[in-house]
Amino acid sequence: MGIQDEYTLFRTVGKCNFSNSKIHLAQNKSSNALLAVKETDLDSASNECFTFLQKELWFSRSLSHENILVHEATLIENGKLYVVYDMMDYGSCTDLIEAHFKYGLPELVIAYILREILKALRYIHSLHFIHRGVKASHILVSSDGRVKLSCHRNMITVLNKDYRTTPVHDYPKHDTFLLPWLSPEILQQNMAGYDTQSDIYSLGITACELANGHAPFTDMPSTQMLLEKLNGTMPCLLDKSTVPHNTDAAIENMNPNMQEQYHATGSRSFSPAYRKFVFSCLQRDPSQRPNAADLLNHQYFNQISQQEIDLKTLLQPLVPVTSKNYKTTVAGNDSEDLTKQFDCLNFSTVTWDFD
Amino acid sequence: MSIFKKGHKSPNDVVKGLTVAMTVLQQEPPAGTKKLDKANEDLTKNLVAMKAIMCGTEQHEPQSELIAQLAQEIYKSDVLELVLKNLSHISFEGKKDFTQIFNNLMRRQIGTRMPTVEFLCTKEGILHILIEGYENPEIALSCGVMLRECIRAEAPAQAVLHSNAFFKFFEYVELSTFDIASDAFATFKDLLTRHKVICAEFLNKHYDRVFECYTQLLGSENYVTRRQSLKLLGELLLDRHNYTIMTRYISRPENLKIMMNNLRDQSRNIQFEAFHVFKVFVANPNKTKPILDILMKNQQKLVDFLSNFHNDRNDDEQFNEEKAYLIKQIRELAQ
Repeated sequence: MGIQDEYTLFRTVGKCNFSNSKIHLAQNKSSNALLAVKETDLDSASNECFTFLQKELWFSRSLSHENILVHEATLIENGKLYVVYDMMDYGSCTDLIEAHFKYGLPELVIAYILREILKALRYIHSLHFIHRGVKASHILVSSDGRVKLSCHRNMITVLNKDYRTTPVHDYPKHDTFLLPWLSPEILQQNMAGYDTQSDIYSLGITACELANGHAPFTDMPSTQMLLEKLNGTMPCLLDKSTVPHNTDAAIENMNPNMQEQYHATGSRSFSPAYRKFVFSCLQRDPSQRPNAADLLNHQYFNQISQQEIDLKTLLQPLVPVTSKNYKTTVAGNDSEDLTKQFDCLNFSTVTWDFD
Repeated sequence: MSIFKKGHKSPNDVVKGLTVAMTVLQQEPPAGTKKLDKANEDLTKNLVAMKAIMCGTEQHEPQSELIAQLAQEIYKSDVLELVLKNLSHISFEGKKDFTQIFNNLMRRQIGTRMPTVEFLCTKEGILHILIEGYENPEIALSCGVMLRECIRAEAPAQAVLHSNAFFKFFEYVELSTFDIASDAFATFKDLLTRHKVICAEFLNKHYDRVFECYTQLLGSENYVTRRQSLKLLGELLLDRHNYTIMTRYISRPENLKIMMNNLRDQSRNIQFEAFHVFKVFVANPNKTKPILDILMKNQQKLVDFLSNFHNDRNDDEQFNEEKAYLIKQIRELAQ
């Protein structure tokens, strides 16, 4: 059975795996449900990359949780691998930032997203896995309020051969773009190793990334980043209390980009609870960080229960990728053009990033 | 975990409890009935208790005395077979719990003895249930994990190789579901490579049947099957334990033809893997007449072809040396 027998592929909405894979918007022909289909040309994948694809799917099949993206089906056709996923129509958090929220998402949205991701982490950690890939681009959001953690290819178990928990010493060498999110203890590569608490550090970095619109440590060489992390440098949320106040003259002298950033970040304020949350996640000593289950009870999340979350309103003016003529173009051999065409569209369409 | 605090579920109770719950589930009581709910609840409870004994918990180290008792109870009963036969009735997380218990049990060692491996040798049915697990997507990966644990030991691996069930893998690795086929291939590869001496014996004894099936994999419509089976073939032939198998394989002209066709495949990875098998034919100092004939017939074509073959792999020194060697060998061929 071919992919076109079961699904109609529409336009490409994103790329992942270092652009080796395309994400198509698709529709199941029998149920009419909208889906995302990841297409990977296996012949351009090295043996190493091939193993990663297999590993990711293996992990994906061993997980079952509403906050974790797992595949629904896989298919091989003409040397291409098609993996079918649930449709997450707002794309990843990085897409949200790039499309509109340049200096960060609203705090309420962040609280909502982080809480959902903590549920995913609590589950993953209870199975004695470390995810090692928590970052904004791996967090997918849908318009009906679902939030899912994706990209499981770096997962590793903390169980030894006797099924007892043990520190992990493996260093994830391949995905160097992940370094800014990794905990000091992973980067340090010493005898003590690391455990599930390193995901909590990554979550702290992600919390800053979602608030500021960019991840801390991404603007420096990796050796400097390592030193900063080992010294316990703690990134912060940019707002009134952390952005130094400037005189009007000084602001005049800033370039337009900096001016814009200054006005956007210097005038807002994040809640003290959010600040405390980030502070506890980013503790240098892993044992000082609360675990995922503890963090779910953090006062930071009280703001969610007080009001209904309506992502569609909170994320305006962004609209889900499925809301606009998604059927206009059918993916075929000209999908490269479609990607270009898509790139030209404004923020009403979102790029996907599963990595 | 409460089981230790209260201290009342003995290994005997746990095995019995599990057996009873599983027997009820086997009869597939209708959904929504109390009978089903109770059985599922009991199943979960006993699996958790069993895992706590076998693997310990966050708070408690496993106690060898309890493990020994549990193992004895399991060996005495048919509980493993019962659970495995009905694995699809167990919840998603329950299957994983059982897999952990099973694998832990398999690793059990007393001095140099592996009691569970010995037990398994008397219960070959278990291995067959695990192998057939690949036919059910719901349980395929759990069965794969357990099966690979079993065949880490020599005796079970040998038992699988010499049973007809081994040949089912030639179908499983071609399953249309990529992740399950991949898992089956991993097990298939383990079976053929883990215990060198046994594998070589097996391949020698069943050479014709195995390679007849293997040839079909090499010609599969499925890209992944072809890529992986070519790669594994290269590894098998170059393993010194498999010397006689290699000599046999490279003496047959039909095998050379397959490789020469794969060299020209449109996929670069297939070409590359085929090269690593093709080189063995050419490097063989005692080429059979039919092999020599084919090479001679294509002498110039092959030299030209190889001279342009994957020239962009500049940084792969070994490949370039091998390629140069092959070109030289073919050039110097004379009847």
